[in-house]
Amino acid sequence: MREFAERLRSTSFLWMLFIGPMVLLMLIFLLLRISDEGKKSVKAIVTDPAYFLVNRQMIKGESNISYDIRDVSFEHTEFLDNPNLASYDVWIEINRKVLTNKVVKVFYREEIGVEAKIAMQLEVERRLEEAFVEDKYLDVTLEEFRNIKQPLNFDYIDIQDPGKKTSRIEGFVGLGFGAVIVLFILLFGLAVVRSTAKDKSNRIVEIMLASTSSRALMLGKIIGIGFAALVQFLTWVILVGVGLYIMRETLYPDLLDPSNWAQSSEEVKVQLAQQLSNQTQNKLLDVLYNQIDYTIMLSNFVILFVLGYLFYGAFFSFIGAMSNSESDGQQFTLPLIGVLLFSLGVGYLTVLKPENEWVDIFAWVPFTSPVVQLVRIGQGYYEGHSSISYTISLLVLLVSTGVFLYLASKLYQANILNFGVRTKSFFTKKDKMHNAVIDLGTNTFNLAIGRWIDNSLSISYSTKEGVALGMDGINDGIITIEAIQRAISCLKRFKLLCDKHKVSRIHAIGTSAIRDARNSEEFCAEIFNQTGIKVEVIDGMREAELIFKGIACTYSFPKLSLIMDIGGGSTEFIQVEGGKSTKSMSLNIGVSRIFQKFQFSDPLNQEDIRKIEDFLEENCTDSFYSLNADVLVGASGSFETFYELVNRKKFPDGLKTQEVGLSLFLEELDNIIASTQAERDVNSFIIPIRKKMAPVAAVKTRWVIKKLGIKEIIISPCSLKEGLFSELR
Amino acid sequence: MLEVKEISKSFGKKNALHAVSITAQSGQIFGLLGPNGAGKTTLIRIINTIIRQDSGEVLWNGKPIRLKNLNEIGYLPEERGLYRSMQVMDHLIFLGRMRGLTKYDAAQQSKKWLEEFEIAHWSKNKIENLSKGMSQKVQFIGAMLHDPSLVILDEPLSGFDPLNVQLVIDKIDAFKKEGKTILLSTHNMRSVDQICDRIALIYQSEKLVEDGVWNLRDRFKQDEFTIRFKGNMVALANGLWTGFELIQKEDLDENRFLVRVRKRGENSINELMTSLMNHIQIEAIEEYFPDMQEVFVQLIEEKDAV
Repeated sequence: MREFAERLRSTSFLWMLFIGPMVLLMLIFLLLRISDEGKKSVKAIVTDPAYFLVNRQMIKGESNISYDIRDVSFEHTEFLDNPNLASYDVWIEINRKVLTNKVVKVFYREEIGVEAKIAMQLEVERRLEEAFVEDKYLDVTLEEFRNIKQPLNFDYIDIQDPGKKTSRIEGFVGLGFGAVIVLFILLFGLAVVRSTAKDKSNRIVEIMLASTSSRALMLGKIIGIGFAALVQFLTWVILVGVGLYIMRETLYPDLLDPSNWAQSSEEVKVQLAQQLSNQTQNKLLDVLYNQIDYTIMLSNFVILFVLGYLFYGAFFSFIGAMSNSESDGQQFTLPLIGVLLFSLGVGYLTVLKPENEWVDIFAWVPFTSPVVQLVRIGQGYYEGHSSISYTISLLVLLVSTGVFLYLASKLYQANILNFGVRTKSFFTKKDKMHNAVIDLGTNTFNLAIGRWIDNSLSISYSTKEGVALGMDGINDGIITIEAIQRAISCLKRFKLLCDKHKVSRIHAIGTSAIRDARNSEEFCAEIFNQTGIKVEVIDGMREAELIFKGIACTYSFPKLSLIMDIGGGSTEFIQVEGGKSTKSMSLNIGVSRIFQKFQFSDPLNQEDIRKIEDFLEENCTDSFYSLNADVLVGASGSFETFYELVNRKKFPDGLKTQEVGLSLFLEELDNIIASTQAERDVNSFIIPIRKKMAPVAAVKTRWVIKKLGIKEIIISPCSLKEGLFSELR
Repeated sequence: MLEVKEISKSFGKKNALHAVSITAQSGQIFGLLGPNGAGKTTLIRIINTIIRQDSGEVLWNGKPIRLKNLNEIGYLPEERGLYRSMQVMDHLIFLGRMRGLTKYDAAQQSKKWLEEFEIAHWSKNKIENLSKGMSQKVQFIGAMLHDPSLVILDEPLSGFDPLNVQLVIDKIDAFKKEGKTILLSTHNMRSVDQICDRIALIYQSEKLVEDGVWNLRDRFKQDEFTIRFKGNMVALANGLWTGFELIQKEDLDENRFLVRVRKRGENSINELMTSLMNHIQIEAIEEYFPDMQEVFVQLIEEKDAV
């Protein structure tokens, strides 16, 4: 009921309620204006075995009709096949029955224009009236007879299809109704997908499921939206009906109905006929106003729409339950839209070749049967065939609907609470999916979006933002409210970037500042509430493991090496021997911690440097001094900045490691340590977040190099993020 | 009374719950604790009949819980959600009717609750115009307005500011006094200390422990005492008998400290007090019981060690 009410209240629904019928009426009007008027010049043969008209001259008016009156009669086949009759466009059959049934049959080879029809009716009727009076079939004068006579009915019959078994135009009308079914199923099916995906993405579905069963929820949604569709359709029927009636009364009166001429004189009739015949009057108009049995068409439309909508609704619901967002849903609906369009194609085939054996099959297949059956009903197919096949086709549709609704409800239940994790996709391969990794560091948040292609990691997008999560709180073990706000606003931007790059899953890793904060739980909960990103807080050893894995993606460690990753909160050291990690540690000696612990002068003086080195001495455990390496492998972050300062150029794109000469490197570290804040502020190689703390990082790096006797420097752009990617391979 | 008996549930090859049993009495606040992915939400969804267990049963007042019992349950899920385009009052009426209230009753109850939560003047506003805190209140009201006798709250305090946290805690406390059964899942250990009577710890799909909060705190206490005193730390060190060791120190102001000491051997608190009295001015002394955060960590460490 809520779905129904919400849809009725929506502005788009209200607009479509009135705009739809208006557009439809305009299209009908346009079709009537542009359609072929039929042949205007006609050669007619009149068979008159009763001698009513034989030896009478047909008085020709303004029309282009020539008559050849014969006192014979023949079969339909003869008019069709006899070459001597091939030159006649029309065969008017008059026999003695006309006295009682008032019907004159007119067979045509090709549709004739209404002007010709009116002239023909006037001329034939006038001559017959004279004949009836003059030949004393009736004992009245001609004038008296004309006053009391019943008008004759002219029955126009296509000689190709005298039984009127099939008619393309009627078939097309059926196809038109079928197209409306497809349109409504598509529009409202997509509404089911959107609504289900929305419920899922805004998480209300869990509350709904705690009040009712998933099956009832699914059916409620399908039926609620379906009712809105019916309301819209019925409104359309009423409005289009009224519109057609008004058009009939004003623009297109029924000229062929002789009763409309009854009160007019002969001259007026002719004048009227000629006047009105200038307007477009054609077969379509005839079909629209005379041939369609609206009771049958509309009642069958409703039955087939309801069943067809429920049948397809099962699929749309399932797609909605599988989708994590509305855009996801749109992708998954494409195959279903294809099937719906295919059913329209089969409907077209039914119009062209109603007896085709494939049409018989598709009339039973539930995916196509609503359209095919409507075309058949429009064609009057079941007037000449048993309607049992229609009944069985409805039963097949009904049973399939039940079965698919049941199956859909099972899948719906399994998927609707599967937030963020899609059912094992039929459409995507794991290695083709984009993952995003976010490293929530103490100073900077790093985002990398990438995927594995043929065992090679391809990073399609990466960025970093200075968030200063540890600012003002790291040494007190808290994340300040301001830092939380900065983090959330950064992660919201990252989330938008992930959406833009169609990321299937976001992996967010929290490190030192978060793991050491007393309010880390609240911080993570707030991030999840505001961005939907779940942060996994890892310990220092896991951080070291991921850093090693990240660098190992592109560097094989040919020598005894030590990885150093300078973070804001902690610094990780991993000793690598023979390509394997042999020792690792995470020490709380991050630059942000040091920077906030002491007051430093600008530039650093010897006392400041001593304070930093003393702090490092105090906080580095014995196991640090047991580390042994020739090569220092600097992991991303500050080391990339050092590389850029040494080489005065950007760190190359890609994931390759770069070598830097030790003496040059140490010289540059000295330069950084001696630099003033003002000098760093104008140095474009130092990113804003590092401008303050770069000297502290430099002192620390120099201290490590000297303490451990490092001989070579390698810098890798990879780190924790790439390590996590390596686990997603 | 809610009884969960031997519930097991797997999703494909992943074992989400293994033979978990808990019992929550009427008039009791039962905390369901555990790290992320432990299986708490799965258990809550099974109790709410949102998903079906592979084996085991859930009894409500001695009878298996069925769809018809859902009107007796008030459920506030962790994943909050409302229809953003609906007005507050309409939404609450809708939620109330989903839980079996008539439209009139739902409207009356909504009005009462909105006034209690001081957001009655927002009743004609659309949800999308509310702040996050207000939406949370609407969500909480929606879960409770049908006066359920079993209240299930998944992270009920998340998203509320400190004032509203207290408001929600007071409400939960009021439910307890009304004799309702309250099942509460949370990561917020402070709220567990503050409001839960009994807890169960779910870890790696299994129940590690189920006990009263104070029983657990008592079980994990380590003969530690907190002392608030005036004086200086040197005096404390002099006064501390060798039978006690200093574990933690906090400077309250210039000459006021809060310390935690641990007992060694068989010394009593009386002996400690006697020893300290001549050195420092004791303001408060009490036995230290670990909070639920520490209990939680110790339980998991014990399990991991096994």
